[in-house]
Amino acid sequence: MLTIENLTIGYAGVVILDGLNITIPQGKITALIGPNGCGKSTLLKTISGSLKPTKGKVSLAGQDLSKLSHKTKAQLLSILPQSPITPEGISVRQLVSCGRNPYLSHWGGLSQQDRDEVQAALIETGLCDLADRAVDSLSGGQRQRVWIAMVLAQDTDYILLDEPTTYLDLTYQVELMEMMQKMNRRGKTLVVVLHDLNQACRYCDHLIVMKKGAIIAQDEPHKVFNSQLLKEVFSLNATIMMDPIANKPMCIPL
Amino acid sequence: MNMYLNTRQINGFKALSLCSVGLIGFIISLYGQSDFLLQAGDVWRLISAPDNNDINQQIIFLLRLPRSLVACLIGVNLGIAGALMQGLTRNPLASPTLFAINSGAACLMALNSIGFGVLTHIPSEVATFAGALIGGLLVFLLGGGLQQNANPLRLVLAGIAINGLLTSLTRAALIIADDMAYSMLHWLSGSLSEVDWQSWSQLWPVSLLAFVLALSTCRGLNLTALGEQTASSLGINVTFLRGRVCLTVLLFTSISVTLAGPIVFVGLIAPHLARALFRHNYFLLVPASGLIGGALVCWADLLSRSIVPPAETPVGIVTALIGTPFFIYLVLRGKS
Ligand SMILES: Nc1ncnc2c1ncn2[C@@H]1O[C@H](COP(=O)(O)OP(=O)(O)OP(=O)(O)O)[C@@H](O)[C@H]1O
Ligand SMILES: [Mg+2]
Repeated sequence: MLTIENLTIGYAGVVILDGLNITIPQGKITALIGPNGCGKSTLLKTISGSLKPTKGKVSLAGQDLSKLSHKTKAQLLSILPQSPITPEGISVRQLVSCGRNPYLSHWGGLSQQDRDEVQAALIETGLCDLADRAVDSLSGGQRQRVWIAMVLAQDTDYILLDEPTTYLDLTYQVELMEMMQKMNRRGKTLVVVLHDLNQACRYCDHLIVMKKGAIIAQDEPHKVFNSQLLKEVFSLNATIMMDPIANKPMCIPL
Repeated sequence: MNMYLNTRQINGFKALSLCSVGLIGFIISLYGQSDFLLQAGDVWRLISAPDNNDINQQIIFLLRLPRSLVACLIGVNLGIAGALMQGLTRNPLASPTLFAINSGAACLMALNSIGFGVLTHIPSEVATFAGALIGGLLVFLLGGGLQQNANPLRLVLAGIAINGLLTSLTRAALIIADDMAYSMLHWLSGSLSEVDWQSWSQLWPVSLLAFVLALSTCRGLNLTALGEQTASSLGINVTFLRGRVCLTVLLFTSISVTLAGPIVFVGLIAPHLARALFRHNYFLLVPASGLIGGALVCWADLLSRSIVPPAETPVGIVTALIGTPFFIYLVLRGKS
């Protein structure tokens, strides 16, 4: 279980998140939703340890994450940043192989097991045919899949995805959500930033709703997702209905 | 799998060509442009039948060989230092010059030669090396090198500020000690003419240490290319990596500038050519930048002796003459 206690963080002295307490349930898919600029990416960066909190701590199964070595942490928790940087000329397979870094010894190269994991991640994301292409020659959606494959290759129990569906067409969005569910069934805990609220309700077990750096609600979708919340967080007038296929709440803006 | 073997063969071929270019330059520089009419045959005889009484062999062994070796190794150092700097800052225009290493070295050397305070009591080489380290460390610390999410731009700004300060101190020292000005200027242009076997014995141990350090940062640099956040989430301690890379660059550059003065542009050009040949993998880029840097300085030194013989043009001027158009080309290409 990933717990966040009294977390305060800011950039250059400006506080963005102030005293957050969050519990992310183990073995579930958690969606992080909220308007642009409310601090979702900042929260994920802090959980992954690339930003140091001014106060508070993030712990995994009772263990303070900031006390772990970078390598150990990278074997437990992976993150797909919102706008990752693609180096010029790197091939798909090379980029996906980077995900195996936490398992390599200091001077060693990829082992056979590492190569197998990379291949599995390529198959899973349907990238086998593109494996030797340069990533910067791919379309935005294909590129996004490469980054997801890298996270898959990292094979961690906790996976943070910052807006993984951007750039993807609807088919791949649905495919990605189903891939997340598949990973979840294999025991992975996922935290996903999503802007499509209906997707969040349909595919995720737990919602965390943020506004201006504060947590407004955190619970199962059918408990927290209502028109009052949408009004408060997104200033949106909407009506809530039950999705007839998945029997989850969905919103229709008025 | 076939594809893979092919790229490997191609890379091998490129590396081999680079080595040949360097080696040819190295051999020619052993006998070329000499008042004593040295010939390639003398080099061969030095290897096959060494003779202590042969004046030509002695010149090659005592003067030419150390000079060529030092030229090459300094080129290797500067090339690798440039590759590391560009990898760390993810900025293709970064070069070791950024670290105020040259101006730090120049400053303490100037202060040492005018007999400033305690500096009179230490040998000028030690003062120069210390100056290089101090200049570099100042930039590193001011540039936020120890902070977690330091902006690479801050490093650049710190470099400009410290460079300015140290350069003006050097100028002041030169004005005070007018009689020293010529030899200082000569050194400031980057010159290999004072180099001997002693320089070599100071150079190689430091370079070897720095090279091992450089190799140990390759994987980290490969991942840093994905952004510091991603590198960190893949298990790289970015702050620690930055410290190690800066230390390595400092060692490479300080020892080089101490022995031969600032030889400019090598640290900028070599990694660029290396990247054009070997793309983004630092395990290849680091040795390749070294090879290219070595060949470059070797050939530049040869040229420096051929422009207006028997006088020598400082090698730093030659590299600047080659480097400036290249730099302008880079900037223009970056714009379009
Ligand atoms: N590097 C930075 N330096 C200073 N302020 C920043 C930085 N990154 C983000 N911020 C600020 O922090 C706040 C939260 O940003 P964050 O990126 O976490 O938002 P977000 O919820 O992910 O938004 P989006 O949905 O647009 O991705 C914003 O007000 C933003 O301007
Ligand atoms: Mg964001």
